[in-house]
Amino acid sequence: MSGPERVDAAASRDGAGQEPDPLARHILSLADSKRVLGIRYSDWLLGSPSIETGIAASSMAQDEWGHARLLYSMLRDFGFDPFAVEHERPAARYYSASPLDREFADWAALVAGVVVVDGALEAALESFGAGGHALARSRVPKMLAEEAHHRHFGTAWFERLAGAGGEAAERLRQEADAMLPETLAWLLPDDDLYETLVADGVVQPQETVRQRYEERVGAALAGVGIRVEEAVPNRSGWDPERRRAPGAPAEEAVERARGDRNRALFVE
Amino acid sequence: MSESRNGGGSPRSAGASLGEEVYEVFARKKRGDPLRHVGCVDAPGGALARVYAWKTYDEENWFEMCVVPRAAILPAGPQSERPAP
Repeated sequence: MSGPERVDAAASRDGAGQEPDPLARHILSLADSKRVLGIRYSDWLLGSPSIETGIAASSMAQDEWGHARLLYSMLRDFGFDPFAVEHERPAARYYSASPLDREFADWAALVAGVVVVDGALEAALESFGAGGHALARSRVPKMLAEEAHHRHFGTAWFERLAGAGGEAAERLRQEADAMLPETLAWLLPDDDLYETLVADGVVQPQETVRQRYEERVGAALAGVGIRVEEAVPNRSGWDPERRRAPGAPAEEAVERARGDRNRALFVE
Repeated sequence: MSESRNGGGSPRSAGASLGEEVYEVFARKKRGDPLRHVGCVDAPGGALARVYAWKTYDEENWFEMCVVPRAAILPAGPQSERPAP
């Protein structure tokens, strides 16, 4: 089995062999990114600069996992079993944005991730919620309300580290600069599938999404000398099936999120 | 956020070493309810104080929450007669 059909023989008990709907693939891309972003935030429940930041990281992780759960559940309408999608896919089948494949190495990386990657997720959700998909119109506004807190957190910390100068600002710049090109490729897929979604009225055109993203993150990134309006998406090695750059998050991280080891103790 | 920091006075702030200040957190459950003190957070400024407060004291479905720098709270009454510590 190859191509799109693979989504999802592994992903679905009910949908094996079916041609995945473009919208289902888009939802999976959003849901998997939120799932993995939640893992990355959860890594900083301990070790963050203060109790308050640890609590914020914990809360943002919960937000992301809650959003992912809601998004996975939307796949039921496309013939997929949300439980199988959540729990029975290996990391190599994840559609998550590639900058999330690796851990946030330090606090500067986490802050860059909140602004660059979580900011892209917010822009993508906003586009999805403004479209014509009924479930998105009803569920996304609550997600966006929570995402606003992530943005405030990320922007304030970004400005703080950028303003500190020295190593903190340089680490921040390095991480944001490294994440941005592949994040843009994920946010603005240059493929027929995205054009189909635009034509169907379920997402906004690339130009609109990019403009919103730039409005949201541009000022923060300018603080470390990055001009987001000039950034070029890196589509090198684009995987048309999973709609992301090549690679995958580590199996260990996904296994941890799925809770396989401990679930096996209780589930026959 | 520890109890010792919730009751006013001038307890030590863990955030002071990060150049942060203490913000007192107030909230009300319903429109018309009085604002009540629910705790405090350490933050480097108002923007993060608001996020920290909302994320930390989220056990209720608050109608409204606000933060005030502890330094901006002016004592009134007999307490105001005492010299600052």
